[in-house]
Amino acid sequence: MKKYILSLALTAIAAPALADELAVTIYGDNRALIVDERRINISSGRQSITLPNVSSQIIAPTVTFSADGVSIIEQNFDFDLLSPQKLMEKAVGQTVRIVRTNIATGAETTERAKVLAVNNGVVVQIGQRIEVLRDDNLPTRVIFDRVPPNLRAQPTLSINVDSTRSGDRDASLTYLTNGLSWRADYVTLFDEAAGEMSLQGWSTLTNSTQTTFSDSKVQLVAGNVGSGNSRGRINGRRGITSAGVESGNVERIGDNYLYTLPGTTTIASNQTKQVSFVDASAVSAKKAYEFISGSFYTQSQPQNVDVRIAFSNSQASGLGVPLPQGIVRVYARDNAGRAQFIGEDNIGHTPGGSDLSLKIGEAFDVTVQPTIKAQNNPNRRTTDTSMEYLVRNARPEEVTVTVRQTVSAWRTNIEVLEESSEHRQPDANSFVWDVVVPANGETKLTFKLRQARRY
Amino acid sequence: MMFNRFIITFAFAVASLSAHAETFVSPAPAGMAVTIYRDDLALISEKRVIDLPAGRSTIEFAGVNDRMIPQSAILQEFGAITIERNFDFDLLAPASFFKKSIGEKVLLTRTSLGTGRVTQKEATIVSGGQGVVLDIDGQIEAYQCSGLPERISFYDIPGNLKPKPTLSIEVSTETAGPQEITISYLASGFDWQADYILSLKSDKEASLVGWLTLTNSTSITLNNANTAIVAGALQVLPETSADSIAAPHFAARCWPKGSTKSGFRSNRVQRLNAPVARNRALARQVVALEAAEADGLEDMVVVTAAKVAEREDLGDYKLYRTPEPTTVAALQTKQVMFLNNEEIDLDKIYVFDIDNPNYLASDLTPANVEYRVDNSLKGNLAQPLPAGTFRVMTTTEQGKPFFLGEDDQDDLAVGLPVKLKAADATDVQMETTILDEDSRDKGDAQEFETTVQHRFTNASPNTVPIEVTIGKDFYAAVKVDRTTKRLEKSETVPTWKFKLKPESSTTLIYRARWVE
Repeated sequence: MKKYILSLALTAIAAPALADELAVTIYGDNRALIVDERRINISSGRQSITLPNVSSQIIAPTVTFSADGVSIIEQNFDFDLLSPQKLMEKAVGQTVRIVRTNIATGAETTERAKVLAVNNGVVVQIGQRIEVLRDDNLPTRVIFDRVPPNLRAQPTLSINVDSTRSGDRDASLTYLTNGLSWRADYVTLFDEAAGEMSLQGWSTLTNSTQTTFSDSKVQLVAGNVGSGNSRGRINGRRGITSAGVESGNVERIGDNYLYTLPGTTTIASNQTKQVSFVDASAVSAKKAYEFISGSFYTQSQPQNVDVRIAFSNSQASGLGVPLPQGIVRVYARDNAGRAQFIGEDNIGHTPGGSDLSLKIGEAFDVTVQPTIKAQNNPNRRTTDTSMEYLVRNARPEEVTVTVRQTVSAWRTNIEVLEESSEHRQPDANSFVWDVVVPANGETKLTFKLRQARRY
Repeated sequence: MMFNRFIITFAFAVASLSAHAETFVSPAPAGMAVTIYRDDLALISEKRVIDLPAGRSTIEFAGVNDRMIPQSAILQEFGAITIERNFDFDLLAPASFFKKSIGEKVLLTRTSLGTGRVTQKEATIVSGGQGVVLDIDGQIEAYQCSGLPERISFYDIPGNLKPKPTLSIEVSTETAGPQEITISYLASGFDWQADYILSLKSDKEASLVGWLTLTNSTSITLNNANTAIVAGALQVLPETSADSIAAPHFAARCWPKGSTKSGFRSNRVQRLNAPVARNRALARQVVALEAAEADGLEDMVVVTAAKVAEREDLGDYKLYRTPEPTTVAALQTKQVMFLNNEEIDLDKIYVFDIDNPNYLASDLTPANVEYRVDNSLKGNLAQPLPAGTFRVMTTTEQGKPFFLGEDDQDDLAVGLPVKLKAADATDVQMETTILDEDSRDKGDAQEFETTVQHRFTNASPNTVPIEVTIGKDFYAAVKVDRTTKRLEKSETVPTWKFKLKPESSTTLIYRARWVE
């Protein structure tokens, strides 16, 4: 990686572009905190310091600059990029040189011209003549004597300061930037027969700032760092069936988990970087089939049930670490021993000791076909519904399918009047049956539910 | 549950990241495997052999698929410790070339139009993001705005610009020597579908052939790969798809070049290079096409039918393997047979499925011709049928194949009914008359009561079996009574089955009640 110094900084002092010490703290919501410490020479009195090589997606109001004996007068962030168009616009009222080339002989003639206007064409005054530049389409070079101030090749931070003394000193620049993000990507190899899985967690950093952060100390923050209105918060269970209470072995800051990458690393522009942060094997895990019905319906097409993998990040199950938000990709070995992808799910920021259940897909061979057998209204406020769920299993082994019927309990008493097997009721709105289906067979789940409005 | 052999390693603790490891390029895979999923996804596994010294080194994987999803990459059967993985997509393109060369010295070559005389000068790139500004011996000029032929030569490739997106890993090995690595990653740009041909031999017998159609729309050819497809509905999140990485596009922007003739409207700028396809998809296609042409291939279909794909269970999905390793070329569609049953049992039924009979008032409805396959050992099939299109074919009296119609089916496990509604029968119709209609409030709900008359007509020269159902896909249970024909007892919803003689008609009257 080559570094360059802007040689055309027109301000009084250009700080070295090489960062002496750079610390990057990356949040999961496309933000990062940059602490940029440089040793720079500041002379006595008022002056402007330019600081190139800051992130091009810097959030300018968050900039803090501090150095010993230096007070800040103002901070500027120049976005005005140097381009031929801008160069010409800034030259209005000024004199440039025009070099015309004779296309027959190649002879060059140079004249001085004043730029009068740049509006859908460049109007110049040469002596007493006023012309449109290159109206004849013949080759005409325009030479500018200098680059105007405040036009820069890259977005540049400049700070007007007043220093009480002159000399080298440590300066510290702190700011938030957009365009840097990270999330976790997990790889899980699930061994159904052994009832266990391995779990490898990778932190995936993405740098879309167009700026390279060289030799930086990098920290990753897991947690929702809000801005009053819970920016980035994701509601819902996100794979967690029961939140845990194990603190585990993880660094914390505030109410977030902090992952520190060892040594220093370079986060290049347009790069996705992955570093492993957890690697565990033989974590106990099991497969489950689930079918959720949120309404009563008769369907002629059998519905494939969900396949879920349930595990815990508790110490007892073999993991014992919190899991930052990300995607869990699940693999299983085929008959030839090759790892094959079998599906994926999101998880949220998961505290240690939690129970998780991830939906990875739908079972080809296990289906549920719902039929409303009867509906009656014994009185004005009461509805009785008789449901039949035909659970079919084309697999060569017995399976258990959890059928969950959800019904709104708002202002309503719900009662199971008849059922082919005993139900569980984990919450007011859910009635759950564990249906055992023999190998290559089918089982009918039937129940009659009474919904009685209270008033 | 006791697990006493769990291991947790915090890889962070293993090694420091700051390193200046030597880079080794793995030019091509030594062996490949690909598993194709539905809806634009594949798992590609590449076996790579690379000679590494002991200690720290960086491996760059050349020739990985350009539609790879980098965060999905996994390394298998690899003894070394992975320190970090990088996927670099800062592409070597004219636009990034200028942008990354700010402050660098370059060679500017100008050719006189009149004399052909060439002059060369050293220049410094002052700005390059939105048009190029040069510093030539202290004079500031815009590049390619004068109308003179000029070009820039660079002395070096700036930054870490790569010709293609590059996956690299930094590893630490204990011993020197050749290492065998299997790298697997998900990639976009692959797809498959199932197609079935049901060839009728009579109204009772047919043959069923199933084809897997694989598509590779990437620009990379998978040579001699162990190829498989997975049938079943995996959950795949929207994040798991390849970003379209397009090279930044570059135009030498100048100041407005208007003339007295056209100047008030035209704000066009001269372009440095040939027009770049703005449509990324088109650009990708072009790239892919060029790649295919380079390989001497065009969009083509390869049919492999000598052997039938082997099937196995992969968790709760079905995995089909091509009988032998095969080459899945760039922009190729390949077909592999996975099912070939010469004689399966079949029923042909004329079906009327009714939801709310009131909606059919005064309608004339043609029958759906439904071919029913018994997907069991008894029916001589017993095969899982991945979702796809079933095309029903017959033979004309002259012995020519004839297309009767098609129907799409979801994944169908063994034992599930296969019902193909391939066409409508003009000869068999149902005329509906509502004889009486009533509804009354029942608390929050409304109870509907309708007396319906259907007249069935058969204008064909054959006796046809007819099946009528009510509420097969409905939000209420329909109760039927006062019917003039016998209801079938064994069905889940009210059903009538009867035969209708050639050139005859019959009438069915019943009362239907349901609560909404």
